[in-house]
Amino acid sequence: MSDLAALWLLALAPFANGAQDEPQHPRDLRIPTLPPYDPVPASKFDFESGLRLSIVHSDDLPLVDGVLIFDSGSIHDPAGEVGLAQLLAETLREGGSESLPGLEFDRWLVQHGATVTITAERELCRVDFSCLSEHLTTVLQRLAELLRDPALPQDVIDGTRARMISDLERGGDRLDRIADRLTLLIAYGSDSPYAAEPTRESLEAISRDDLSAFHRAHFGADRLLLGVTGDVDPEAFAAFAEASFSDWKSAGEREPISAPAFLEPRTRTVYLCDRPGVTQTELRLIGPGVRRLHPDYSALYTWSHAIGAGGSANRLMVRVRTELGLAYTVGALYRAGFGRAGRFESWCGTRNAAVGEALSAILTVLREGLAPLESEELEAVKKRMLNSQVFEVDEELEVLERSLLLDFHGYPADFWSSHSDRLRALDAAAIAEAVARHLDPDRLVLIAVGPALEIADELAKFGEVVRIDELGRPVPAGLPDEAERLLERLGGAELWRSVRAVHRSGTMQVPTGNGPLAVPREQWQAMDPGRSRTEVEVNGTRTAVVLTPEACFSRTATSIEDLPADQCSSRKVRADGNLYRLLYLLANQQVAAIHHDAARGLVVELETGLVCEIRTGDDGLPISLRTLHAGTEEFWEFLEWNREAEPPWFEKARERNRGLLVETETFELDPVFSAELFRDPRK
Amino acid sequence: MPTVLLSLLFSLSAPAAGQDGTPVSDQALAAEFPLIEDVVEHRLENGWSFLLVPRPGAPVISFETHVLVGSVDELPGQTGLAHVFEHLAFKGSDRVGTRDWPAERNALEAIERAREDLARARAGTDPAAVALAEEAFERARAEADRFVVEEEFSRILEEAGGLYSLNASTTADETRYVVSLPSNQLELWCWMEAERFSRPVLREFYRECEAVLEERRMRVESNPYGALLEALQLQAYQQHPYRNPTIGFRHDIQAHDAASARAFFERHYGPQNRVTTIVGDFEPQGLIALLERTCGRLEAAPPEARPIPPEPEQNGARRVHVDFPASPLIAFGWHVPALTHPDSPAVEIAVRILGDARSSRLEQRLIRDEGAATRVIVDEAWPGRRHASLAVCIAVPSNEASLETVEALVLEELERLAEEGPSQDELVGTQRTIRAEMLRKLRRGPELCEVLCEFDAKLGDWRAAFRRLQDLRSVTAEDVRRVVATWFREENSTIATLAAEGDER
Repeated sequence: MSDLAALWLLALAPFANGAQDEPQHPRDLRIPTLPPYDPVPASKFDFESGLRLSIVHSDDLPLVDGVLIFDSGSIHDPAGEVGLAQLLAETLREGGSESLPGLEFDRWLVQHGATVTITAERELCRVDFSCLSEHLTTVLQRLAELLRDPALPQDVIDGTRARMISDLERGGDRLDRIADRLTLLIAYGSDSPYAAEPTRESLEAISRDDLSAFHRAHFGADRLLLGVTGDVDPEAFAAFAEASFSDWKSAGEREPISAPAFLEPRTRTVYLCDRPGVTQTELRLIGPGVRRLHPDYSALYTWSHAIGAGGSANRLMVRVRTELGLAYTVGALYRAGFGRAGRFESWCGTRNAAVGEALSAILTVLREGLAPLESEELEAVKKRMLNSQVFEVDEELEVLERSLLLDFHGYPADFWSSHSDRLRALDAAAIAEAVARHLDPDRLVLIAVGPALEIADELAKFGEVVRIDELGRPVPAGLPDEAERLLERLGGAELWRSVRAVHRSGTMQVPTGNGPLAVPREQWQAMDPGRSRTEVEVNGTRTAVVLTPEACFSRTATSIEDLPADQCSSRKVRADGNLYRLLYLLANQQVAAIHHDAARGLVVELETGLVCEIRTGDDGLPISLRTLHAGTEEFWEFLEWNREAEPPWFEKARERNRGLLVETETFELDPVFSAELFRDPRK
Repeated sequence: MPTVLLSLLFSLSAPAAGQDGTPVSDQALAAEFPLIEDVVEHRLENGWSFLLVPRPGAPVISFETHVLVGSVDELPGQTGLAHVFEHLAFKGSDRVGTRDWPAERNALEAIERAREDLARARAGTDPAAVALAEEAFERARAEADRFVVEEEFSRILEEAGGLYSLNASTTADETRYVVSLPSNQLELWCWMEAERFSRPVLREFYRECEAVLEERRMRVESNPYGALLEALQLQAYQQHPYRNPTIGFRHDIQAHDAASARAFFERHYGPQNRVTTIVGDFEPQGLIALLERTCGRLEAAPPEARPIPPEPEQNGARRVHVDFPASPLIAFGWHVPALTHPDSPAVEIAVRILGDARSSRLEQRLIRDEGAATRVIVDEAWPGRRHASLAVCIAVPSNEASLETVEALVLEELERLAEEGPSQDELVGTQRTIRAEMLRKLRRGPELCEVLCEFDAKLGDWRAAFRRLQDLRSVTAEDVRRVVATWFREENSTIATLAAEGDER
């Protein structure tokens, strides 16, 4: 074997010798059948108060884990007070009960080796606890006090609110989190309780009375599912639970909340959230989906596992990560929690330069996925899912949690076993039909979180690009960073927004048969509307060329004549491409299109069709300006800058095609001049 | 068992032994932790250690192989190689993952030749030659791809039931390979694990490096916490390789080649450098026979010890600032001793008292009293525990607070702890919390695997995990005060800050 071969096969020798009878591949192994496993089922108790209790017994350790699930998630937040359920959950935990307020509750827990967390989700509020079996009733008693008579101290409310606002306002730090949040906002709309996000205003609108009222209305035994697992005597605990909670009732009825509907745009839309300065872009492709109770769910779930869910052996991982090396994370899934929101999501994080390639690769995999799966692939997918199912019930806490969530969301008790039966029975045709009913890869909504400057052009190839901020609100297309930097370097956008005119004087060297001729030159450039007057003096005669939207003529002391029409239009257009007028247009965002290109620099297109390309040097000052219009090109190189001046101005520039060299001796912003300079005296 | 566990949590004042510094006897330890009696140790002749913990119940088994190699073992210029190798350990062998090994081997050789040509072209000045060589390199990779059965190694384990658990991770100290499978797949796991470590093929090497670059972009370049910690490491360590990011520097990742990956494997992946823990529904004697037949056939290969330069004592506060487009963050790092040092347990307790719970000092002061921060994160040993490491505290300033304010508050709290020490309630509460956490970990197969592997690999004996609990229980308030005064001094600290350019906070 050559050295190179040894590079790849690292250590053949120890295994290759002998052992002829050993299997050469895992497919040669004889795998025994897994013995049937029925996890301990949950014992269930329903009480008149509405309280429902599930217990999964296990006496391995003297520990108990438990969860209380209240039907009081953030979808019930009152109008204008988004974030209330979350603020309440945090305040309940932090503020303690009347009998053990604030940190006293925490210290009590630490002394008992117990833990409690309270979390508000969209559809429910859950309280998880863990303690020693022998403290179960004491801990639950303390917890019942806290949940029934919370202290809700004002200082804790204020502190928690301030923290939530801080977290919110720094929420833009993680690209994946922004993308996940935008997914909900775009899928269901910012008005939907399934997508609404707290804001500073909505949090500041919440008073202690509001929290109390929400607590009274939404918490009570009639809205409670309680589950425990561990070393518990079911009958005795059931009696205790009833005694602790049965006289606790939530106040009144409430408005039903409809299931969220996916908002599908009429045309393919690409939402772009700009995060300048990062090296990776987070992508999402989203579309409508189903909830778990839908008859197509098993088919869509199975299909997801072939295309992009779970592990590394799905098509998207193989194509986008393994074969193309474009991503570390990539996938796709018909996502459906137990709740009512279901949707299709594909995700990928890729380097900015590969955004187009990655999106194309993902869309190709999805389109190919519309064809029925090969039977071998389907069998493999089924094995992956079915053989892994035992891990969903190998721990008592998981068994308990699954049972509680089925109850909470109103699923039939045999949901899991019938789901498995359906998985086994699925064939490729049935899956393809289900997918065809729900997925249209060409109508998926695209979301990209990354530096707009580097990715906007690529994204535009996939649909209309809509700029949004991290809360999904549309943002007017601003200037690219390069344009901002250019303006900043040359005096700032504010300055150039208000400049009315620029005056320069100096000399211009013009090439002639007898060598360069130095011509005194003076120029006025007025900004809005664009007008210019350039005066040169040759052999004692001073000639002015005036270009305005209405006029185009040259004038001496004794004569005046219009320039030929062809010269005129191109001169007028070129005059607009003067560097200083460009700064004015940029500062006022009066350009038709603008983007940055690594090779061409800042590319600005004006309404007139003139295209200008500005390249800058390491110090941020322009080094060249190329203007293109109707087949004519000017290429200005800025050779020397007066850097000391405020703003800096160029002292020497050369036009490459005509060989002109312009030297500026004085430069003045907003010179005193009369409108007479640009007037056509014949009119 | 129940009574013993109760005592574990509550008889804090009367440990079996050890308070006077005498080592705890194995019997005393086993009396307190009956689990110890369940652990079956088996070392194969080639040096590969196995810890077997049979647990009847659900028909599932958790596996972890812990290889005592991490980024701390990398050579200069090869940062990130331990992690890249972890990715490659899922690429299969000459029997798994190939359609035609002899043909694939030739194609892989051609990739290396094309890569050498490309390196030569890049050293020259002719852009056309570089373009040609790049094309040839791409062609060679595409040719080799034809022989690959994509992801076959992972596919086999995922189809066997490892879909949600198959994984691996690399830290500064170690590389861990984990999976949980239904118990009927025991033999499959043995076959696959032996295959992975005896005849791995480094196929798709260069494309995997590209995926790792994406991982770096995700974890470090687009993530403020990653960027902050990378800066902290680089500033806090001058000599010791704990200064290098485990994911590797970008230019090093771009420069990795198959030859260095192979050399890395040979240097560090000998059976003596591995310990595997298996927890679940199996019968130990049968499993041992199976291990002998599979993993036992690998040849011994003593790992090469490479001296790791010690970090010179720090004698002045250090600082670093990162410009990053995100809200401000601040991180503190103090050099603290390794796991084996007598001060280590007290340092762990001190760090937890400072910032590990709602009632901890920093959470209380920074978040609740002053509203200066929204989050405090602490770690008693980062980036590793094999060598003297850093105790780290990260604070997330609230909108209203400046980095300076947060810094001053953290230092004030440290000073207070160094002067007054903790209260008895704080100390006992923290000790109880640590023990309760450990108990909860021991319940779950994957977490038990992790605990036993780590202590066996780093301290040579998995029982050290339980001795550590005893040591933590023996820590006094004065110990905590003393270690804070000794190790958390200003001149032993590094402070890293992060903010967007122009953010004046």
